[in-house]
Amino acid sequence: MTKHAAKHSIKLVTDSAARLAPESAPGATRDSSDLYSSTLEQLNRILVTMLSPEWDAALQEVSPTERQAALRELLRVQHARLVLGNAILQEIAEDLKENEASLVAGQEAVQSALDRLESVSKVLTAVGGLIDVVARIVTFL
Amino acid sequence: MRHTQVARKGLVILWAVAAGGCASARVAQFHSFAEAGRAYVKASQVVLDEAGTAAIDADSVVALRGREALDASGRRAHLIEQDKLLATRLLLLKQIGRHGRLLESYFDTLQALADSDAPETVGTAAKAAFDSVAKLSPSIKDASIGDVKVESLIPPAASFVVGRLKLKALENELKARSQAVERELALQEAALKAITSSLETDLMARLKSQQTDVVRLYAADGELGDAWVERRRQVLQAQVSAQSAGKAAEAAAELRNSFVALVERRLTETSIQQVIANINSVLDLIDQVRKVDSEE
Repeated sequence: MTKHAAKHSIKLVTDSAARLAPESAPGATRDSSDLYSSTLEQLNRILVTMLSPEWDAALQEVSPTERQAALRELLRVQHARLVLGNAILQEIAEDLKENEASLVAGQEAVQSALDRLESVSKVLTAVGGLIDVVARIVTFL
Repeated sequence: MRHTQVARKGLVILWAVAAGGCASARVAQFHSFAEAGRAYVKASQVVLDEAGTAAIDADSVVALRGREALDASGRRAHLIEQDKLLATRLLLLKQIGRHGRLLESYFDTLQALADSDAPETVGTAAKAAFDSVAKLSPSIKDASIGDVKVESLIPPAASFVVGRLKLKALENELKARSQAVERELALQEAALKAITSSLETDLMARLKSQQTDVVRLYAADGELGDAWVERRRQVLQAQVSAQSAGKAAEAAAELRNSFVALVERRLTETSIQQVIANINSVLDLIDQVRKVDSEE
């Protein structure tokens, strides 16, 4: 598959997922429940995208080091999904609010990187950034 | 899937009996509702089992794909930690299943109360059955599944009035607990909604990975035959079906509406059939996904 084809297909996946995302006005603050849901929704989208044939095709064109980094990030995304998914909202509500700006920025960066898919490394940087924020909220491995 | 088809057949017979007279119609409605409740609980157990299986399988798919990026100690640490997280998820699914089965017991006691010769002890049994249901609710309400907290998905309470009944024991039971039972059904609806959102992602993760394998086979050299064609079709069709997992929550919502209709003496065959139709849709979806797995 060519880079162009991979880009087009991944865009379809993320566009369709984006329609499910909760709407919020720019600059508006979200409550912790919204932040929690939108973060997990984004992790779900990343996971499905990172297991897709389009992502696999993109990985065929990068260096072995970058490919290994992508696989490590895939493991971190799934770990984050489960840790965050099992968390009790009341216990992390304060941390979610404290990290609201970083979480929103991280989600937007991921969405933008997946939509454009300019390069695997840009996607990994965006995904890694979001996971790092999540790791400030819940305890990671 | 066979058990729900049997349930559907049974319901038709009960509604036919109901046409015979007002009192027997009343009894038949409680029988029909209890039957629908049993079918719902059986189907929801299948959904809960599948949600557990899908969560484990999606995690295994990721673990296998990412394995080469970890050394031996990293692999051990990763898998042990993921197993702990999955165990927490499975425990919650088990609690939701138990909540559903206890509700089923309550509906059975309501059915028994609808029989005019029911002994007085049935009323006590109904209270005991409901108390067991209510004990489990707080932990389910507080839990999060997939990307939502269960409590946030609980629909607002329905406003309804218990209709007058000749059977005073039944009327008293409904007056005492029907509002609370409606809330427990709403909790089932919310839990199923949360589960199906997570189930969809876990199924899609696994199916996307299977689709990737299909593409890899095609991209590689070597001959591909009918088995590859068949596999490709199954994986793509299952992806479409996976998006209809939400029918489980619709079945729960329909069961709650039917309960309110039952209490208000306006339950119709259509409501019950809708519960069964939604249940069958979910079971069909699970059959289709399992078919892909069995031929892997």
